Formats: sequence, C-alpha cells, structure tokens
Amino acid sequence: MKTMKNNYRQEKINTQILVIGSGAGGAVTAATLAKAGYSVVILEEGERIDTNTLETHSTEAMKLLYRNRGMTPIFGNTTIAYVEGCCVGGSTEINSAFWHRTPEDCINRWTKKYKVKDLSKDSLYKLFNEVEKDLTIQYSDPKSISRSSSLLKKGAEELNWSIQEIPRAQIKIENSQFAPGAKSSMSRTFIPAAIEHGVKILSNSKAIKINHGNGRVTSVLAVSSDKDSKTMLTIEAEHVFISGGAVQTPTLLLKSNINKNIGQSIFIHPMLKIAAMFEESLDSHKDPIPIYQIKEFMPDITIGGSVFTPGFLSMLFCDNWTLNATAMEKWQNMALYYAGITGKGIGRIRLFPFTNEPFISYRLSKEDQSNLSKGLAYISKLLFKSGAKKLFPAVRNLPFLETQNESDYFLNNVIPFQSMSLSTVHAFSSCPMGEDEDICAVNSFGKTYGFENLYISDASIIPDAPGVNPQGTIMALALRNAKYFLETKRGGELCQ
Amino acid sequence: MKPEYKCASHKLISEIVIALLPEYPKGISEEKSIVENAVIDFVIGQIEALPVYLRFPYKIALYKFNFFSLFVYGRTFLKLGKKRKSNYIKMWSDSPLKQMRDVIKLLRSCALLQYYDHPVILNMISTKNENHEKQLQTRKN
Repeated sequence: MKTMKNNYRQEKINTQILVIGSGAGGAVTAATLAKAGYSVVILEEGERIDTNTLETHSTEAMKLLYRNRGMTPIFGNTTIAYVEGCCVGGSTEINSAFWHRTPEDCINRWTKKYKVKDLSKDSLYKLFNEVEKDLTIQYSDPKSISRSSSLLKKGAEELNWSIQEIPRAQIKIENSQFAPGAKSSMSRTFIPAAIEHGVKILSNSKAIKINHGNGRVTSVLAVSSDKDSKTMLTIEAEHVFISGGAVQTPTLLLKSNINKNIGQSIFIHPMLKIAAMFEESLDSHKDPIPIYQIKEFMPDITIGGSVFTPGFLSMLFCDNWTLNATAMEKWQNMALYYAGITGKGIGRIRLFPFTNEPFISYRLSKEDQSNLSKGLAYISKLLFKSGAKKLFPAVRNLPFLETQNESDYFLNNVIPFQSMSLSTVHAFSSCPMGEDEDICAVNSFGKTYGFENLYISDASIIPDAPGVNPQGTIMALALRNAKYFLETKRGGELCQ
Repeated sequence: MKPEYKCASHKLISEIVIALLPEYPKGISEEKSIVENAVIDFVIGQIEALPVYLRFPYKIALYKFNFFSLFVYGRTFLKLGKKRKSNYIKMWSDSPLKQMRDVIKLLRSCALLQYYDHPVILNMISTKNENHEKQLQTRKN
C-alpha cells in the first residue's frame, strides 16, 4: 500500500455529502440533497459514456457500460450470469427501463418481517409520483408495438391469462429502449439536475476504503484514474451515502471492516430464456423488446419478452450448439422470451481472499427449481398457442420442444439445477433495511447501524425480492431516505 | 492482419475461437479477417475482464485443454489440424464433466455473440434471408 501510494498523486477533497455511485439510488440522493443546499460530490467508478450514440445492448456497450464487460458469475447449485452497469448512471444505462411501483404485498411483508417504520403504500406512492415526474414514464406508441409482443399478447388472450403492458422510463417511445438516446436513464435526468445544483461528479473514481472510528466515517479513500495517471483521493465528508448497488455496496463495506448484517443475504430474480420459432418472419432485431408481462402467475413467476439480436440467440443455443446450430438459419423467424421467478433461495456476498473481489453465491431453493420448471411449461404453452412451431429453451440436453405435451412434462417434473442456463439483472437485500437489528444492516431510512453519518441508498436495502423490475423501488426509497435525512438535519448543519 | 498476442493464452484462445466459429456466409472475402479479428479481440477482452479469482483458474483450464490433446492425438491442440481441432472441441463440449463443458461454453458464447452481431455478418445473413424469401415468393407465384 505504501509503495502504491508513493506512485500516486495525492489529493484531498472536503464536502458535506459524499455519494458513492451514480445509479438509480445515488443520482436521486445527490440531486435531492444538492437541491436542498448541501455541497455534494459523487464518486463513480465507471466512465461517463455518451449513450446518445450507443446502442445499449450492443457488444460495444458491453465493453463500455457493463461491469466486467458483463462477465460476473453467481455461484451455487448452478452458475447464474449476472450483469450490472459500471458507468455514470449505473444500471439505468443498460436496463430495459421497465417501470413498476412496489407491490403492496411487498410493503406489507417488509413492515412486518423487517419492521420497516413508517412505510405504507400511500406514503411510498407519493414518492413515486415525485420521481416519475422527471422520468417521463409512459406506455409505448401503439404503432410501434413489435410483432413478438403481439404474439405474446395473442397467446395470453387465447389462454385467458392476465396480461399487462409495462410502462417505461423512456424519452423516445417510437424506438427500442436500447436505441441511442431513447431511455430516460440517470445520465439524462437526475444527474444533469444534480449538476445544475452544483454536484461535482468524479467519474473513473473508485472508492476503495472507508476509514472510520467511534461510530463515524472519518474519510473515504478512492483511486481516480485517467489515461496517464492515477490519483489517490482522500475525501472528508460530513455524511457518506453509499449507492453502489447490491454487490458493490457490501463489498466496499466488508473491505472497510463494516460487517454487521452486511452481505449475509442476497436475493435475485433468476431468469430462464427461451427462443421461439414462428412460420412468419419477425425481424425481432429491429423491434423494441416485447412490452407485455404475463401477470397470471405473479408474484412467483413472470413471463415476458426479451431483447433480441442474432448474437443473443446464438448464446442461448450454446448449451446444445451441435443440435441447434442449423436453427440459426431461421433467426429472422425467432424471438426471445423469458420465465423469471421471484427467488426464494438465498445468497451471500463475501470477499474473495487476497483479491478482495466480491464472490457472489446463491443457492436456488427447491421452490425456485419448481417455479423455473413450471415457468418453462407455462411460457411454452403460451408460445405454442401464439403459433410457435418450435421452442428452444436454455436448458442443456433439451435442445427443442415441438409440442405442448413435451413442455407440460415440466409442470410435474423439475429441470435439474445443472442443466439450467440462468441469468439475472436484479439483485437486492445485501444490506437490508428495517428496525430489526438482528437481521438488518440499516434502519428504516438507510442509516447504517452503529454509525452516525453513514447511509445506504440502493438496491441492497430492499429487504427481499420484490418480484418486479426494481428501478422504481430503488428510486422511491432513495428519495425517502434523502427526505428523512433533510428533515432530521434541517436547521442544523445545512449551509444557508 | 493477425493481431499481436500479449501472452500465450491469447494465442490459444484465438485458435479455439477460430475453430468454434460457424461457416462464414458465402461471398465473404476480405471482410472475413476483419470479422475474425474482431471476434478474437472481443473474446480475449471478455476473458481478461473476468474477476481475477476466476480468470487465473480459467487460463489454467485452457492450458489443460491444450495439453490434454497429447493423450488423445499425441499433439497439443495448437498443433492439430482443422478437423481434429473441431473433433477435440466437440469432445470437451459434450463431456459428462461440467468443468470441461464450461471451458468451451464460455468461449463459444462470447465468440458467437460477437460474430452474429458483427455488422458485416449481420448484413450478410439479413440479405441472404431476404433473397431466399424473395425466391420462395417467386416460386409460389
């Protein structure tokens, strides 16, 4: 450390508020506190990338916007591919921008099990109203609904299954949300608002350690990199908010020897993908992703459409490539869908010895296995009703399904763990909030137990898996925490 | 022009990637090397982006892959001919051992992702299918 320090330039920064991370949680926190008059600095590990010129699901985007270029595994009874953003704006730059309000049953569960204080549907939905104003949450232009979406809807209607169009945080509704400049991600909404109110963003700057003593954070060490040099930053802040997401937040805390109920749990939404081949040409690669979700089996199982490129399709075929390679010739007749579940298993975040990188583990429960298998059966039934001729699930040794009888087998039989190729883009609960200090890391408003000036505002405080896309919940909770902070501090240290 | 490799594992990765790629669309000529180099660069970048605790075991597994073919064909993978390379890869990707399958799966999924999303290939396969559709339509008429 001493040698490393000697090679770095040293710089000291003083601020009232330090926010670590610029995603859904960090951007809202920084903008809210800056509007209230605080001096705020954001530390962001990733780069500031102009997504106005970049398709955010391209391989180029993977290199620039994704952590580890999308190569983060979760280990357990099967390996799960996990992706998160690592750039200014965080995962809001790479997600599908689907917008859900927190389901009422989650709010009730969190207040009961985790004893989250003063949380009700009404109070939380008021906060949703506020963040939604800045995000242009809207439904798709009916003219731009893709053929793969219509097919999903057709199947659901024939089966009389409940289906819902999901609104999105999107500026250009006629385009795919992955098209350049289409999404109202943080880099286009809350970050510019924060900058307008004086927030300073340090991109390419990774927080590496929180120094603390006597229940207070004294400083944060960070390494800031540019092309030619590296600078060791020592940031002294009166209050520190960590918003690095469900994996990076506990990692930083564990590295800093802050470990009470940190990283002891992690919940996810595992997802099993399936490709459907139709007789007609769909050209799904030109379309927005399907906008409908099947509500029939929610909250346990969600069915929907997935972004399509020939590359993504070929990846799905990898488990059975020898048998399915020739199906690539028909790629224009195909679309991608998924069966996602609200994970009932549990995982952990630990530091890998010597490298200090996060090691994420998650054990799928028997219920998860059963729900994923049923999910495959349900989505297959729906797609056959929609007119699909052949289905290709991401399951090893199950190259394709041609009849509903074949897929119905999974209503009563489970897919072996090791045969499933799963992925997830949603992780939560690594630092759960609530008043139950035995299981929670932070109080009901994000303040870390045992600390006077350390807060967490991101997906890690969501007590368990909400069963819906979490961006809305993260933003509403971050606003809640920031407002509570302002109420408790107002008149005290606020600069006038 | 072949890319310069920073370490021996990159050379090995590139040889495996070349053997994993599907047949190029007919009519591709000078763009073939552009695509091939783009895919190799992408895959090497992806492997180097793995967390350190995974990257090193993975590279060790790649060396095992290379030398294990000594027991099968009497030569390392790098020295095998095209057909044997392909058969040897198939042997690993169909292995009952998950660890062996995963070595190939990781490279194959990265290689195919970049290959099929490469503008040259995407353009060629789109045109090919459109022409095929037109031919079918003409025959029907």
